[in-house]
Amino acid sequence: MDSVKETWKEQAMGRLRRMTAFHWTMAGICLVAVILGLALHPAYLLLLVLPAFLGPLVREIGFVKDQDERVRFISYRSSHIAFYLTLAVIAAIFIARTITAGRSIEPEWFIILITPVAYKFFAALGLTYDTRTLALAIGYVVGGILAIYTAFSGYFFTPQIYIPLLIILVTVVAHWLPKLSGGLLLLLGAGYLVMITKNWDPDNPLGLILSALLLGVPVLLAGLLLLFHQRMAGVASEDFIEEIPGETEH
Amino acid sequence: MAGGMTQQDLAGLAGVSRQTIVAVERGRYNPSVKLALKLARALLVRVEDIFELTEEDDG
Repeated sequence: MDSVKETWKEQAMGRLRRMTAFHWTMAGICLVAVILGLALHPAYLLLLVLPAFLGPLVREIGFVKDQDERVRFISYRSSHIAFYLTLAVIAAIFIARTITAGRSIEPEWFIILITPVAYKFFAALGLTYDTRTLALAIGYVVGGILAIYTAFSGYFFTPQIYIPLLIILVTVVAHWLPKLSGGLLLLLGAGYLVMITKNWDPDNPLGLILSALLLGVPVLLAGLLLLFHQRMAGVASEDFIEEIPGETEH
Repeated sequence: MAGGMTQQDLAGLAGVSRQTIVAVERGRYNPSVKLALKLARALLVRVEDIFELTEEDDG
């Protein structure tokens, strides 16, 4: 019995030793969330959701580099499944509201459905081509959609049309001067985010979040992609140049 | 494991976890070309000595 206990203890200690700074940070967030949730307000328990987002995010942006490709693969695959599950949940809400409850669907709900699909499309574009192509696509699509929306809202001959036209113009310039355009798109994106935050309607936080996610953040992202242009993961690299035994001996 | 090398040893040489070595051995995970080359190098063999394309895979 003692030997079994020792083995269990050894295994536990082994697992603790393998925990990295990232794991300890995540465990810290969870602990703080539970303490705050129990001591102050249950709303703090929402912090427990953070590790679920932060884990894949820091891996995607390369902040945490897993040496084990199978772990990366499992992470990607599970995120992929979670993505489609999220879409299925949103579709189920659509069906429940329209067919079961007989209520109409507000435009915000359609944008909720489009947002993850748009991000998936542009992520695939970036992985297939390169960050510059992705930035140009974002600039033209966001600028174009915003221009059409502004025109159809009756603001075509007002200063409000300047923002989408500026985004398109700066994107055109990016073909020749990518760094300059990157900086300008960064400013435009940040400016747009400041503008919508200043005019924020507290009764409609969903509108602010969706405007930020579909217009402000992509423009800001396009600027960053142009400034720090490089080939993204998924494109073959030449980092494996070590000799393989037997391959060079003839 | 052959040659007195344990799964843990091989995992250390290839820079992956022991669970990944187990998964590759059991055919539950297809390694990348890079990992396959690393495994071959660690075992001092050629890639085609440890991996083969079966008819099932080819179909």
